[in-house]
Amino acid sequence: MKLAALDAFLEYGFITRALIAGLLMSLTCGILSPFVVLRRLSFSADGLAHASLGGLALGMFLLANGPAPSLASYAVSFVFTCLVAAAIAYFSGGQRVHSDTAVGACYVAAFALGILLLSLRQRYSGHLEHFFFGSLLAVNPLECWLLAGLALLALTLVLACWRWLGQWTFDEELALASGVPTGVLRYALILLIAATVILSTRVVGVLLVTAMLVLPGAVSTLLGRNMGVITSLSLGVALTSTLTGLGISNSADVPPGPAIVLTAFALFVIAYLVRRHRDRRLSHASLSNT
Amino acid sequence: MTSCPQSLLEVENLTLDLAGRRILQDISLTVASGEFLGVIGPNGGGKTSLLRVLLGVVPTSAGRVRWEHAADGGRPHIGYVPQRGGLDRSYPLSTREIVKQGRSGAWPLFGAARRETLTRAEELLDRVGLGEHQDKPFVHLSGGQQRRCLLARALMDSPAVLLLDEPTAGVDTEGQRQFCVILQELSAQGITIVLVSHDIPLITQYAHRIACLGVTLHWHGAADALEQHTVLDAYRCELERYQVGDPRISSSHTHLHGGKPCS
Repeated sequence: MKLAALDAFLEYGFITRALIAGLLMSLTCGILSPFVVLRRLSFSADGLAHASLGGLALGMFLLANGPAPSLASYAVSFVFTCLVAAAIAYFSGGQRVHSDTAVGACYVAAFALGILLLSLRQRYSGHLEHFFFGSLLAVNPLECWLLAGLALLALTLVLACWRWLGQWTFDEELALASGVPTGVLRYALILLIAATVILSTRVVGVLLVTAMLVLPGAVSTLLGRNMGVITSLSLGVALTSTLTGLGISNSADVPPGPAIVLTAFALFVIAYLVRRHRDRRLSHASLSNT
Repeated sequence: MTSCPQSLLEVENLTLDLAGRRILQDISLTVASGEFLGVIGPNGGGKTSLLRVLLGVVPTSAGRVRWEHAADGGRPHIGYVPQRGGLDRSYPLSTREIVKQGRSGAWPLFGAARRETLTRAEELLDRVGLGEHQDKPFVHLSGGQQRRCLLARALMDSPAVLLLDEPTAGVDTEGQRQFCVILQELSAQGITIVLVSHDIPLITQYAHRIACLGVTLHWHGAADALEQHTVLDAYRCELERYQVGDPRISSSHTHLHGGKPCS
């Protein structure tokens, strides 16, 4: 795209906001994704993303006057999603139910509650598609500020706890023995995931936000060998996917959410093939040495 | 219990209950600075739980653990080598990165601190014989190499005490010998070592003293004073003694199973 065309493109406020929101979401997801992947929290993130629909619906049911969520309805949604996370921790904490089962049970209940509440308000039910697949071009300035605050918070926390997080991904007990506050890290990460899925709903939708919390980390952990490289790669993948996806969405007139996620998945497939090639080469070298 | 002048650790009447079950009962022992203590006992005897109490990860139900000469009045710096479970085969970090994780603190390292950490990690990897494997992913190392890597990780902050939980389990004879020789050298340098193991013939060759644990402290004394009947009572099986380097030392000979905790 030529610069003049880009200027004309950005003259529309909603497009600028969409671009900013997409990049801020990528920044947050790119930072958190390696820790979600290495701590095997992918399914928990997926569960919270689905549960957030219940929170968003509850917030809109109780507080909103229109189809766009307000700050108060985001707050209700955040509290609701945190309660679902607490319920998952409660059910899986007593060793009677496996954590995967607890996630599966709680998120479908919250998701079902969301659909039920939306169906009670007929005028909102038409907006279900926006919840599921996002409505990036409808992002408002408030949501951009919230996404900016979240990205700053995630960046600050990850930098402040950088080496603790590395130890925690390797072995929880060993990290605890080394004085790492593993419980605090776990809850901080879960709260950040909850806030990310709620605020990213407008960008890619509840069905696709998990992909942005998993795919950048999946790509970077296939290729990186230290946490610095892994996190940088994850950020790069998230930002590249968003920019490329938005470009495809604009030029091919397709929804931006699926375009972003499919770009990230294409990078994942490429990373997997690169890793497979590298492993085979190392294996051949090792065999020829022996 | 009276403390000897050079004692580093005093455990007094320690009792631990977890989930309504008595794990440790009325344990009292002292460990001197620079001493190599081997802890043996049957499965479920409370060996790992004792280490977790010493690490401060699990609070005692009764009794107390007192560290002498600790700089901050709490406990000295402790290096820990855990029992390894099954780590995800896709875990990506290299051997060198795992060792670097042993440096305490939360913030990222920059400049001189970063270079010093890297140099220290590489020195320790050379010391444990893994210098040529430092770029390999940790999960690609053999079991014995992983334990040596974790030992190097535990040494990153120059600990005064090393706690090791069955570090030679599943390791071949030569790997066990290499590991114990490194521990012996560390002990000679003044690092206090508490090693939990089922490998009684091996542990009695290298440790200064042995504590035989079966919920209660069954026996505690010099390694060369450990008698056949003591182990027989604890494990309900025979003790075989071998010399260091004896080719008969193998996992099939040295892993002792079963037995009831001594009453």
